[in-house]
Amino acid sequence: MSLRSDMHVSRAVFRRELRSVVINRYFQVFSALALLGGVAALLFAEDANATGFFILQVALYFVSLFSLLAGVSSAQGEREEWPLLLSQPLRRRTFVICKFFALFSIFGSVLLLLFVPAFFAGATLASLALLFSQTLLLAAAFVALGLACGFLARDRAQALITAVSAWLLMLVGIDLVALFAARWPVLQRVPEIWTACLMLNPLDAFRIEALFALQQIPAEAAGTTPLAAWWIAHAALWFGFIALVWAGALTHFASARLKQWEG
Amino acid sequence: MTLAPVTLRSVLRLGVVRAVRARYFLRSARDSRAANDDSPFVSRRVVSARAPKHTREVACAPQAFAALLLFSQPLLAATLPLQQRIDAAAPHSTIRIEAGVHNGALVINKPLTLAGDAGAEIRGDHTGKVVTIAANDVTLRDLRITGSGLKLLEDDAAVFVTGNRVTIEHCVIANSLHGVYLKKVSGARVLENRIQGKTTIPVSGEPVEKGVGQSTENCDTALLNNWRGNGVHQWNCDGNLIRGNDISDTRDGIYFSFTNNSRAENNYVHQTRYGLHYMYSDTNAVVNNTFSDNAAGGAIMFSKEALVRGNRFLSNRGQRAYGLIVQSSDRCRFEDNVVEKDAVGLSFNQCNGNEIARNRVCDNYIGLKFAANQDSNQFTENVFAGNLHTVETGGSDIEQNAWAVNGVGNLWDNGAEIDLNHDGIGDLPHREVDLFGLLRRNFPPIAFLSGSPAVKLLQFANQRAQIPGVSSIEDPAPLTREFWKIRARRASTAAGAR
Repeated sequence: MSLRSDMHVSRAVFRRELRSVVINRYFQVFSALALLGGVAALLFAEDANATGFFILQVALYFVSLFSLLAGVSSAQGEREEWPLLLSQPLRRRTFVICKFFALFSIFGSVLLLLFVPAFFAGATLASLALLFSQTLLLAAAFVALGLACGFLARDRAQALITAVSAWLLMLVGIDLVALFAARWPVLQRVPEIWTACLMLNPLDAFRIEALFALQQIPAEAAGTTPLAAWWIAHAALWFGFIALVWAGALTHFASARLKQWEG
Repeated sequence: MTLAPVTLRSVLRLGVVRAVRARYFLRSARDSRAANDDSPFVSRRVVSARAPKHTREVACAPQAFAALLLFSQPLLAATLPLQQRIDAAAPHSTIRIEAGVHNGALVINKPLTLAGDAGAEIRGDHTGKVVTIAANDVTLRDLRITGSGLKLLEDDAAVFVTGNRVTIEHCVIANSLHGVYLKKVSGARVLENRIQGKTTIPVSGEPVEKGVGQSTENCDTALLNNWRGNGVHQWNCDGNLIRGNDISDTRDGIYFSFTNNSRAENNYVHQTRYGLHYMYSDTNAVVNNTFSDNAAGGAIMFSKEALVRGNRFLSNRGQRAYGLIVQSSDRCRFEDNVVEKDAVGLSFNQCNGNEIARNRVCDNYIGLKFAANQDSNQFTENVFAGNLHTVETGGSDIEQNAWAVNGVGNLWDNGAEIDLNHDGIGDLPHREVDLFGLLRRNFPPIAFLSGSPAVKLLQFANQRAQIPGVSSIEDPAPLTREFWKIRARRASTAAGAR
């Protein structure tokens, strides 16, 4: 296929995705929540730091969940049309990547509903821009996870169960295991391994980056090992990296899985 | 109109004469003092009021005499070293100190008032004490005092006080070790001064004490926090008043040591080690002060019956930073304080019988750190909100303390507000769990789980069913957000009925 053909297909998939998103219930609910969150931040947060903390909570729970569900929905929404769609001359990877970027750009627009009111609550543009970009990266990672779960499962129900399980595992499961494992003396002797497990989880990486940036945790509280100190010093960089790695890997997995379905 | 040129000429001419005579007079006065300490020109009110008898020129020109007096007094005053003016002054008199730099060190050993004009500065030579007050009833007012030595072991200070009932007010104290050092005095009043500690020493200077400095890029040597002096240092004092001072960049802002019955109020202490440092001192009051951006806002240690009311402990961050740390102190009252945005808001260790009421402990990394081996402390009507960790108990047994007084507990922002009878007091006890416990000390990376949804989930679960083996606080009568409104409404209804 020529580049021109690829571009043409990409545009078509992109447009199709935009149209389907507009009528997607998850997305409509998320848009309403984002707007409500932004207005709540404007009305109730006492200062810029509190606004940031509030947005952190919204991003941690809602942005991750709804971007995941949007990914699942996008993958499974046209499952019945796959025989027709996949008969078209388009690369599977292009198809998945176009879906990903369509959802990513839509989330980028809708997240403005959350962040713009916060700007009027006294938060600085620089801090909001940083938090916005990180929230968008978090959304990217979970859109990719949603697509992967969507293309992995046989049907929508299975896809939703898989996706929500993965989300719960990343949101609380890993931390619960980490909390209990921290009491294990053997592991206490190698804190780098324990820390690395948290670093690999994008939700933990996002939470830690935001909390340290907002100075909710004194930087010295955890920085007792070289790896921990490095993480605290480069938390934003690390989160950007890990989110992109997750998004790239999961998108690749989704396109590979789509090829398998075709076979 | 003819008087003016004559007077001016007379003044100019006589001014020179006067200056020469004044110099001669001073020399003879010094000689005289050397021979006999009883100075020949002692004044009863102001040192320059008893100048020697005037010359023939002055007697012949009354107008010139009047003008001359105006010119000559400052001239004489400026020429006399300040220490001599102090020595010569009568007890209870006032010395006006003109604008400009006056050399220290000064020793005041009689009741006097030193009042500075705008721009008046007493500057030490960076050794010892700049102003030593060894008499009772001395007042320093409107002065800038700088340049003490930097030897902690010798108690170097801008103002060193051993007399009682001394007042130091509206002064600016800078570039010194201790700001005001009150040693074994009573009734001192330190009012509305600006005290800024010394933060650097020149790289070319001799080392003050071993290990004082560390190199920085601007060719100065930083004076480490532990080697600085205190803003107001009190040792073995009684009945002092420290009010309205702005203190920064010192080791401790206001230091109480073996000091009783004193009061610190309306002070603003920032960028110090401990804003308030309080050791072995009893029955003092710390009221309406603001302590922000310090390593610790306040540290009250080994003391009894202190009243800490209406203070603000704000933004004291860093690993070992506290809003207010209370160690081995008993029967104190902590009321109506605001403890916000600190690394650890309130910390109690080995304290007994304290009353902690109506404080706002909000937006801290750890709201309340409550260690073992303490009992009979009472918590009521406090607000714990927005803290990343509400309590840290270190896994210790804390059951011997009261988390409600007369059926009134505290407001916990993560509590379930079940209040069926609408009295503002929750119907179910509130449990506040410390999941990290000893791990904070044994495994510091556990801090990476701060704010984790998993931790919140466990805390939520513990409120419904206590997790065995995990230390937690149980408030039997937690407050709802409506408590204060309901109480106010009931009070107004009761008042109306009466």
